[in-house]
Amino acid sequence: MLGNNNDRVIRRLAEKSVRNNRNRSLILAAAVALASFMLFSVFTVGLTWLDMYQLQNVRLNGGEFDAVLYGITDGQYEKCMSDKDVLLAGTVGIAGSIEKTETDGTVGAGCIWADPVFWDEIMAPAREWVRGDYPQTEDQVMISEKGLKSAGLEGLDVGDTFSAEYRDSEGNLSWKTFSISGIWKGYGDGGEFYVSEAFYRQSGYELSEVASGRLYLDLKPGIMTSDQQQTFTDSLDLGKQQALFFTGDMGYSVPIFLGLAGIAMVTCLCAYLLIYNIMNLSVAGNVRYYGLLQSVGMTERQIRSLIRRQMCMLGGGGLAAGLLLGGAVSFLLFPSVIRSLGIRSSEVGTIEIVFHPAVFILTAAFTALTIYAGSRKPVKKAVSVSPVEATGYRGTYDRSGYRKTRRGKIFPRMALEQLTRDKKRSTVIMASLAAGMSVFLCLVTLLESEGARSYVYIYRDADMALTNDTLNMDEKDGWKQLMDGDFLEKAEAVEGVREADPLLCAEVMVPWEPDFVEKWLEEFFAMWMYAPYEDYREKYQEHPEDYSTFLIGINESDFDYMQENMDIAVNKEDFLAGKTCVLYRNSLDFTSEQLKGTEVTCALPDDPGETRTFTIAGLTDENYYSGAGSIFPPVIIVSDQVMRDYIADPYVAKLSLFYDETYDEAAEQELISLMESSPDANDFSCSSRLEAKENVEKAQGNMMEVGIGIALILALIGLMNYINTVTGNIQNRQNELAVLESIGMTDRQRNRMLIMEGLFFAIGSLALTGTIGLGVTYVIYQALNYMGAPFMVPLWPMVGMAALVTAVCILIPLAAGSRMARRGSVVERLRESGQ
Amino acid sequence: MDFYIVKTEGLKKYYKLGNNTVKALDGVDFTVKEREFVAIIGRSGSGKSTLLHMIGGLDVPTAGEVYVDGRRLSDMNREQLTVFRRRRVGFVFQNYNLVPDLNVYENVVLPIELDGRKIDRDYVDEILEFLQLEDKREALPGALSGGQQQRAAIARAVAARPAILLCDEPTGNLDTAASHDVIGLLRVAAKQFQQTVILITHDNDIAQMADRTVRIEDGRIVNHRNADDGIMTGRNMHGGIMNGGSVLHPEKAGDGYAWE
Repeated sequence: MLGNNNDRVIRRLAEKSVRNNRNRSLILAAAVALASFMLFSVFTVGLTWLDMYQLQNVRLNGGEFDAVLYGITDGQYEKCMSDKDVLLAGTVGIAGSIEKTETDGTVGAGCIWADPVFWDEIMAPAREWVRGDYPQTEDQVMISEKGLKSAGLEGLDVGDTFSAEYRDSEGNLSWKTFSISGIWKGYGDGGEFYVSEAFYRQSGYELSEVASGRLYLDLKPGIMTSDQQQTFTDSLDLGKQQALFFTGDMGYSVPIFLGLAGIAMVTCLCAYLLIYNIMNLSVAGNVRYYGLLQSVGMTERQIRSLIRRQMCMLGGGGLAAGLLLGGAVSFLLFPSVIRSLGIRSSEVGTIEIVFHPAVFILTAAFTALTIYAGSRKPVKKAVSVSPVEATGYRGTYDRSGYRKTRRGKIFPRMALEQLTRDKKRSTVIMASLAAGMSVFLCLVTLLESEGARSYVYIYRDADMALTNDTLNMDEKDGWKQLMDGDFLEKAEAVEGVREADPLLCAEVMVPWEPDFVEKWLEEFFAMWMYAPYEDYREKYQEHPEDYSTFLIGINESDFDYMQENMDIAVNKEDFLAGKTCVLYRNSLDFTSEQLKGTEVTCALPDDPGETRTFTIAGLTDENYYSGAGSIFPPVIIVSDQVMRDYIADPYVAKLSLFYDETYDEAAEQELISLMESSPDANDFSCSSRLEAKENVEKAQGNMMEVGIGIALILALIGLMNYINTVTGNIQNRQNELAVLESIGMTDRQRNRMLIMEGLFFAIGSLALTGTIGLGVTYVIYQALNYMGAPFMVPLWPMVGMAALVTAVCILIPLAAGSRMARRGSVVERLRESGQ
Repeated sequence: MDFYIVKTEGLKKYYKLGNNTVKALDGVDFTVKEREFVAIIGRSGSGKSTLLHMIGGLDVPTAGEVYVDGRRLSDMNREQLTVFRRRRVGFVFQNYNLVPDLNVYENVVLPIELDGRKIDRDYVDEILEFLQLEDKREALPGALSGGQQQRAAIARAVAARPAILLCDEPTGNLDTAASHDVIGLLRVAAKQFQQTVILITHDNDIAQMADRTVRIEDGRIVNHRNADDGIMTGRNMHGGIMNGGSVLHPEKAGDGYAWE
């Protein structure tokens, strides 16, 4: 049979149908436009965010690399150079340290040689500017602005010289004159002195030593599973002391990828639900029309073709509008809003949105696919109804069967009825709203974790930690009590300081004994030393005072914090009473269980007879308690009271300061003034949460703002989805609402019913967000959380979002209902809806 | 002096249709006495439904006044009109207009609940029993036949004890037997519950069951005929009307029908 050429009539019908059902067509096109807008802008802005995220990591790491090898053998170097998965391999060698300058007695900064690959390629993205050249001769150094300041060399410039006390590989100290070949500024600088290869070669260090050689690797794969990482590590055949560390984002690349893929999928799900909901409502509301067409002879195939044409017209228009809107928002509005808000533009530069053609194509393809998939079921419904059935078709309104009479107040009951009438649709509406909110929840939680707070680790989450650098000096004569009672009192009295906890410290020795000390020293040498233990055993046995260690005194709050992070439970009473102690593990292969119950004895170097013996209760990895340098015996941690009973005037090695309000600039400034007013101001070092936050924020650029932008777009789309769906739904309920009005439901009563409905939707979607959404957020968060930041839902953004969602859920049905009621008299509305 | 529960004065309803004006009602003066059963007949498009809608306050006239139960509808705002309708007027529509999610009982008591009144369960049970719906209390509208749905719609209209029942082609979707059943029931129910009925139909047989018929053509009333003019009404009808196996006997209810 020859097919009829009925293309023209179908096209005409499709055009007329789209034109005549203006409201319905607009809602449908708006849904498609919103979905494509969401996909386009979220992915475009998302890619920009990812770019910024990578840049942030580069800045925080101090270079663009994925892994660092500690200690480099020739074989390993060759292997890395020939490995096709290694893009760049930059060598860095630690060549001793600058201990003093003429203006600062406690510099303690490393001398580092970086090869051209590291300096010119790996490190370049983390630098802002460089003046001068990288050192070529033995006496030249390259130093950062910050390094100059912390070494007391502020004011010197390229070409200037200075004298400094240098410690070589043997630990020998000598004064040298250096010439500044260059100065730089950038991220991740720790005040190191960059030296020439010639300097490194004469320093006595070898690249094969773990304490010196570093090979920074920029790897080709963007994502590596733990197995792949392990295989790569194994291929390097590492020695016992050697280690290969992957950066956080590479180490967790698979979970990060899965987390981001999860967010992308939820975004796509939002888009799908948005289109599907409206498609379903639109076609279902038109079934009578299709039945009529069937009754005048239109075949199923022709109806399919008609609906497809309508979808093409509306979908095509919607898609184009969505892409244009997405482009305008992403490339024009978004950067200009950030610019006009003036968010740190002077510090972080202007925002550049990344355009990727794949996003454009994917958005179009996904939207088209969703239109097709979303229209399949409704189309099936439209053609499966017989012409006679179609004329009386009322979709899900035609329920049959029996149902028990429900009790309770009429409006909540009717609202609940509305929700349960079409459970699938209600679920989809709630799910789409919850999906939008969940992505918002997920993103704000992630952004919060990406916040500076999470990147800054200070012991016990203190706001500031001061360190007495004199205790790092070899000559004990140089040790000073920088933070005496008067200093502590003043620090505690600073307005805004809630708590100031000193960490007490004193030099002790641990006499040799064949059981515990022998075992400890053996393991220490195996792990940290090149020389064999045998060379030292005798010397240690005879002169343990030459190998002193530290006795650390902590208070009860410190104990509680330490206990939380230990792998064993320590009896607090015994610890505070001085019966037990905890040792700093120092990365040795001991477990707490292995050493628990063993006794350790320490003595005072000046009075070897004055000993104390403690039972070891466990090991801690908290390096806040670690001493400086290579300490052979263990660092012993006891309660501060026990320490004071043993040693009359212990040093305050560190001071943790807690503010009433985090980031209290006034308190911080006063503490810095207090520190600077000390005659030994240069001997302090200080880590501050506020300063670190500022550094991280600088490294992040506009990342947070962009992230918040994505979260807001998604939340907005979730709401628009709800608005669109509910508006469509109420339009489809025109008849029912008119009937209710005809039998006496007043506007106020209708409003109460619609408010209840909205409230149920809000409660339902909030419940979904609070359960499934929160669960998914937790999983994604943990996948991305390589910084180990605690999971914490940002309260106020979520409270704001919940309030907004509730308000929208209530107001939209209310507005749609009122708009419908204004459309004409009850009779007109009943007539219009076909009754 | 007669008390007219419904009175219209010079009632007009004009619609604009392109450049033309359609006169759906063109100066209708119409009265209905309390407890009267009036049928309005006329061809399709004659204006009979428009008249009914004006009386029920579902639509607003272009000119003229409507008085129902002593109150002028134009004095009332939208809210007052709705409350008035809820309390004083019961509607029975051709398409039943039952709320699909509510079962028969819930549909019947809906206007009472909307009015915030306490439900007189005995009274509702009486209505359901009277309309033979007692075993359909928990049935959803979709599970009922057209006749049953229309009886449920009548039950809903009657349950709130309105003064007037306005019935817009209540038999339009029913077959002849069911139509007669429904009208018979409507008549008896109105009598039983002391209500005035204004019924719209284009079926002369149905109209003849009323106390009075009013014919409307081109938006004007052209003819009034009382039952006493020789047209058969329920009062002088011989025998009974078959209704689902039950028989209505005129003699059992004085001047109306009663169930046996």
